[in-house]
Amino acid sequence: MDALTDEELVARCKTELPYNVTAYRELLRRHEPLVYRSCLKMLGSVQDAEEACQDAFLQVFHKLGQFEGRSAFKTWLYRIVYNRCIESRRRDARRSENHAKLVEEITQDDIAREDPDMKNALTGKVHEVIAKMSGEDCRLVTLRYVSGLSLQEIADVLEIGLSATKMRLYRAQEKFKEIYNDLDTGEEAEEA
Amino acid sequence: MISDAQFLEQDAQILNIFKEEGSSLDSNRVDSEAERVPRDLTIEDLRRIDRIVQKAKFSVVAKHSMSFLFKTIGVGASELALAFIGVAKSANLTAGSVNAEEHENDRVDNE
Repeated sequence: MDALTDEELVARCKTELPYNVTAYRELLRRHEPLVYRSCLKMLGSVQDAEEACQDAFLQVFHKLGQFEGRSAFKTWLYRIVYNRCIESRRRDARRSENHAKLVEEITQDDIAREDPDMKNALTGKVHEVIAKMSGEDCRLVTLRYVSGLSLQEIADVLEIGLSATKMRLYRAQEKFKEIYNDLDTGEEAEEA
Repeated sequence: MISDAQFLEQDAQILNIFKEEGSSLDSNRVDSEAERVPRDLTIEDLRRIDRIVQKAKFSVVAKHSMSFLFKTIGVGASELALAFIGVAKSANLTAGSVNAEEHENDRVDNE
């Protein structure tokens, strides 16, 4: 299974699902951890991230037959994830407005049941910055720096042109730097 | 308009920030052939994956059960409807033959 490409695994899934889930499980092994971490950054809560990630992969399970392969599987997957995260944020507008507060509300229990990687993902300075960013900027930065998508892949996920994607990402980067530097200044002032 | 150089410089800066904090996966790992090799999965990762697979399997069973249930209900309802139609028809026929008999008796009486 390791030697197969995503596209080969998708082809196997199309013929084998729902009776044989071996290829599907392999796709999960390859993509789920990163998708989960991306959801975590975009939604800021362990519970929401797990739910969004689960929903996205269940959609993959049921809709893989409709996937025509015009884009890479990864792009298709992240489009589902991206839309699911937007939906999740819309569903709970209050959470969306108070994203930063929500991060603080994450209980220690939530963090404790995760691995050390996860602790870092939820408590680091980067996470603090992302939590303070607006929904769209937060998602763009996450897709680029957490999910590791290229500019072209982000353009495909967002279904917009490459130059428009570059423009939006650039603005998101500016915002990120601004908040990051503000935090730095705040920390220095506190230390002084 | 942003130049490619400007964009790439800023991109590299932020990528470094993420890497320093360990919040980003190495982008080389994503773009290269190494994508085919699964990352080292934690127990928590494996648990989540198992949960998704179980849910997916359950959703198939649930879907099939629901469709079977609706099919059964549908067949039951249509058979019931047919039975009603049959009963109604036979009742009509009986009523018709009784009427015809009565009519015939009346005619005979009149004669």
